[in-house]
Amino acid sequence: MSSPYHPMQLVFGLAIWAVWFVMIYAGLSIACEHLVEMEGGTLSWVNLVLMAFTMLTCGLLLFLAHRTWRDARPSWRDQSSAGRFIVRTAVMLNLVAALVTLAVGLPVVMLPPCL
Amino acid sequence: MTDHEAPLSQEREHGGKPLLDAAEQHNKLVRVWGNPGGLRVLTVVNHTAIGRYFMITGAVFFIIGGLMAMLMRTQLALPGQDWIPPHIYNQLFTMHGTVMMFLFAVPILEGVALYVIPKMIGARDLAFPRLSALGYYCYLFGGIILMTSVVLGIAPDTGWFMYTPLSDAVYTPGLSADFWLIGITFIEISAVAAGIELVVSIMRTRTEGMTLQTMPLFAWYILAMSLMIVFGFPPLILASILLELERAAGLPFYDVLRGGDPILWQHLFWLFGHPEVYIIFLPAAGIISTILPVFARRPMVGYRWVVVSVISTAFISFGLWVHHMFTVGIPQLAQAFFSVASMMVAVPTGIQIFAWLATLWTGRPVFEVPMLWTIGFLVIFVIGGLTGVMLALVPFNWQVHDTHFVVAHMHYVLVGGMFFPLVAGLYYWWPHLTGRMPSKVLAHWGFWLTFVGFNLTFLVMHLTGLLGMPRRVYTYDAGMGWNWPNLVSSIGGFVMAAGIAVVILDLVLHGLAGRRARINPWQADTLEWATATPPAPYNFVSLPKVSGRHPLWEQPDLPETIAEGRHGLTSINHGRRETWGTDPVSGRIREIIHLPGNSWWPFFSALALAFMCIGLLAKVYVIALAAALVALGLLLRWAWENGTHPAAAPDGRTAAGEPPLHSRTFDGPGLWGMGVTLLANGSLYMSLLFGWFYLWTVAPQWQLPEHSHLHWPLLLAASLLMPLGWLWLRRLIARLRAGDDARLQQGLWWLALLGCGQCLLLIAGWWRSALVPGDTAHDAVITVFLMYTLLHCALATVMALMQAWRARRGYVSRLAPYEPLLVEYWWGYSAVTTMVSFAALVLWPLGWGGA
Amino acid sequence: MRIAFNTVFKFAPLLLLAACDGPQSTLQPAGPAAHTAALLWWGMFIVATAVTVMVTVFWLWAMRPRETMLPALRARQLQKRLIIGGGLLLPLGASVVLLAFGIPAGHSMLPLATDEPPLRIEVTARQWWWQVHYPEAQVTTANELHLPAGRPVDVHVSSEDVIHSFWVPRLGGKMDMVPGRVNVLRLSAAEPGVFRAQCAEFCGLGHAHMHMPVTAHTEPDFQRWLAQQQRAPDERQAEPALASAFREHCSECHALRGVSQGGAGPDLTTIGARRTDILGWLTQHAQQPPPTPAPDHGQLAPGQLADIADWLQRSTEAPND
Repeated sequence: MSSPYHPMQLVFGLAIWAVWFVMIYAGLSIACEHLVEMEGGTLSWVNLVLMAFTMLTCGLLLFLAHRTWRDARPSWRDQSSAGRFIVRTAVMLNLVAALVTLAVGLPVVMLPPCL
Repeated sequence: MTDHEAPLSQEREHGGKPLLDAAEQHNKLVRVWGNPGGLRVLTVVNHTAIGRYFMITGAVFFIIGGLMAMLMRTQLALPGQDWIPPHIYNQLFTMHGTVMMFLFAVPILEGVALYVIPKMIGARDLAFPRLSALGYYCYLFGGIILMTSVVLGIAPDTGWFMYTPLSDAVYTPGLSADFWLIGITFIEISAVAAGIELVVSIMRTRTEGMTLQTMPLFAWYILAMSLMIVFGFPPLILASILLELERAAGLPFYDVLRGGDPILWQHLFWLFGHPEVYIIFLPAAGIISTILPVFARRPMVGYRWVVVSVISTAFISFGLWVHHMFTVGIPQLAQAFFSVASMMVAVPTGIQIFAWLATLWTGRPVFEVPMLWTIGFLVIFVIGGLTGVMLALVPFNWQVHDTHFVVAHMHYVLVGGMFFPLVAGLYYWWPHLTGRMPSKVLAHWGFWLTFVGFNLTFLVMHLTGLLGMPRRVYTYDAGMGWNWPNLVSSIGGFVMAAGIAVVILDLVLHGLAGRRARINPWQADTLEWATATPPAPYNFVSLPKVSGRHPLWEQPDLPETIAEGRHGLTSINHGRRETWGTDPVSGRIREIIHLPGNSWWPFFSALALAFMCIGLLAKVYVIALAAALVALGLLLRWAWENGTHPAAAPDGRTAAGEPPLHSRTFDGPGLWGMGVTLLANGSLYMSLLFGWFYLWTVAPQWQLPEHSHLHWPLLLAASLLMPLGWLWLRRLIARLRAGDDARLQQGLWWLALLGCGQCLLLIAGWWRSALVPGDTAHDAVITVFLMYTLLHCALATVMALMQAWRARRGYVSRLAPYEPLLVEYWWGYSAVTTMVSFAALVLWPLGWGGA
Repeated sequence: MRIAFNTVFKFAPLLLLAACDGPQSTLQPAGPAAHTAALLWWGMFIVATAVTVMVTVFWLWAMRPRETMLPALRARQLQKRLIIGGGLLLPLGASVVLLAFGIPAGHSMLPLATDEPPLRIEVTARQWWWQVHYPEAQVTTANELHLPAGRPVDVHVSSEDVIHSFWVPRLGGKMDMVPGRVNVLRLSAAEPGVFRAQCAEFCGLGHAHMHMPVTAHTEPDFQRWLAQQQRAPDERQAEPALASAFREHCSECHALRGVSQGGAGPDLTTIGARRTDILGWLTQHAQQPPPTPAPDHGQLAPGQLADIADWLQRSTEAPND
């Protein structure tokens, strides 16, 4: 499944995004319910943690896009058009996932966590 | 169509295959594939018939839902009217939404997919014909049960999203909510079944040479829709089961005082509810992506862009659900995640719209009736999408949430994004379904009345909402500024109803008596136009090899050559229904998939399940239990007739040069079906886990029970035994792969014994835990976990028993090694969930703060 | 003819604007939160209309009948521009602009800390009426909300039964009233006036009638109103027989200052000020809309109902000042 030509490559990127999404929403909710003073109106350590996690995930997805492309190059000419299609599409999808991760995570640098 | 004077050179051109006598071949195929008449019509499993049933039944429900809407609009035309009293009106708006969403939108699009997909991918039928028949009957019986509540005047009346606490037993005593919870869950089985079926069919039954990259875009859309159904419906199934348990058995999940939370219902509902609308939109967009290139007379622009958009939409739509809950009191940062995500999902949709635009612009468009509806779709859907982006902006949402603005928005996206493409698709495929061409004049009348009527009804409704009129009100006061907009909307409603009546009339009239269609009347590129119109039950006499995305443009004589039997899989003397089993990526032939013929099992299984539902509704639990056992028995007996069973494919021989039958290999549609089913199952389980952690961390009055203690040693033993069984089964299979089935039967009996032991351990552990599920949500959720685990272990045991018995009868052996692999998937899944349940129920509380 | 045309042109915008007015209209804002939301709406409306027109025009233009296709190179260029420009950049750009305005706008509507703590009002919903409580002044009333204009007010909302939603469209967004939780909605009326609140979450048979007047007073008027509410009329003590009849038949559900603590029903301390025909309502409400979960009052206190109702009417009217 780690071959860049495997069809599951098409879903790995957005699946990672989905897991990231669940974790930041759940993490934020639990932090606000149990760990943080609700009256705080400023950015706090919660924002930092969430932002770091977002950047990490975005970086991971960009890296996956890069790695898929890089791993596919040596055997490019020997592949069928279906294989090449999977690689190109998977790279695009990983980039989409990275973009959506960054976009959805952006409010973390703007808003206090628990208001 | 056979040309008996064909020169020899023509024969050799097509690979020297002997020409078949078309009429004789057709008769042989019909003997194997034919649909019987009379009472035996209830045994039909063929996708063409089942697809038609879904479409016709869906259309009937559409009319019912539409009539309900007309009653509401009549009442709302003037202020202060109450000739429909509130208790009836509340049933009307609830059932209008429920019927349209569950009984019309999803099933009718499923019907289109079930009908079109096998033909488009060059297959003779879907992968699990009996499953699609079961799905249809579950839908039909569930719909009848729900309509019974309407006739009796006790229809559900708390809105189609059934928010708690309004829908719980305290505020809605009586049966109305139970009709919804039980009836809709029954119908959802049908949707999930269709979803599983379509995924496997698209991945494994495409014709030779149809790669992942050359399959029609419609197949990509339906693949995405089906996977979304698989992941998206189970949260609602779980939520409904929990609410029904709360109503009928007093187990609290949503009741604040006992540790539950009404917001949990909203989360679970919308986790389903948002993907649901994309499940409805994607197949409709797929229809547009199919029609547009044909009428632009060029291939679709940006195939890869569209695939990326479809997959992106499918995933991202699961991250939007809280935008239906922006006023519930969730903190702003969390809301911002969903606000941004809701805007991001507009990007892939925008890409599709501009890809369509580019296709038109760089093509040579021809104006036919389907294109009229396509333009209507574009205008209405773009408006709907734009108001959707507006609604995604939280401060604006706070004003218009739960007002008629939202009603306007959702009708724009649903009618524009689903109904208009559906009608375009019906006009497009009408020659295929009926063999006759649709009209022009009447069709134009139908379109314009509907288009103008729709906009008259719903455009001004945006203003009605902005003027402050909430949703779901049976009447309103004069002097609010709402009088004239409501009157306009009501008049528009009648115009639209007239338009729809004209459309239905047009389709029916021309379907019965229209001009006869020639082959491929629209000069389309996809394979479904290579069948006869209307199609024969076997679709294709021979299955072609395709190499590009546009088979009928690349090889315009395909309809003839297929009918002449010049391509693959023409042998029929063995009496089996067969289609190719191909590699999911390359389309290389791997095996021959043999399919079941007409069967009574689906109809009677659905009937038994219907009686179970009726028993649950009437609270006569003896009937419910008996019906459940009968249903289980029927389903097991159905499963018995597989593989090498005399009623299936006892003779595994295939013609020279042809691959083996799938049941004689280690792969096949059933394995994939089990895999996809476990994805749906996993989604339900994850929803349950979510519910547990959610209540534990944020329920307003979460409480631990006074006395009950989970008997963790017995549960630990159970969760260790299950993986052992799984490993044991894996060993048996490894031996099978090596060709050794000497002790297979014995091994399977031991496995069944282990399964029994597992179940007993669970039951003992449950007994010793002294739970009081009616007192606290804590114990109620644990009870559900235990029920889930026990059900899975029991089914695992039953499967092992069946396999052991089949091995004894010789149906499973090293020559037919296929079935144990399905059972292994189930055992593996059950083992993993049992261990995770132990971790969640026993280990987590230790960490979080006291069990 | 030309004069008529000009007249229509001049007054049409006014007519259109008038069409946007109403006691519950979000487009006739009377407070900063509602004003922000209305501005967001108009901005988005203009852009959405432009996009709709543009896409429709493009589509119709692309549909025009022609015999030849564009040459391949031109076609590829156009396709790329359309997909990337229209499909990718347009939605992304629009989202960025929307969020740049929307996130700060939403933030400004939150109950953020202020120098002076805002007035706190507690509204609790039940099927199908509103209990309104002023904790600082210890005033409880029902189905009417009064607040001072010109300063922020924090409305703490909750529910005793099903989910309702508190919404005063001319002042700001809505907030769901969820049992087991207390949500806070910050409202502020720019000027004194009378507005309307309506329940915006379907809550059963009486949902359509669950609304109430919201009155913003000048600060002195508001203080005067509060003071009026705090006084328990002396007349009540002057008719002890009727007071005890009230206690016998009505006090299980209803509070009345100086007479009973009450229970599940509305506080009747100022009922006479908002209802002019108490007896009529008591005897007829079970047969007419709006529905109420209350028992049929016409069956209670046989023989004494008219007297109790009359006493209630007289003794709870707002005293002249």
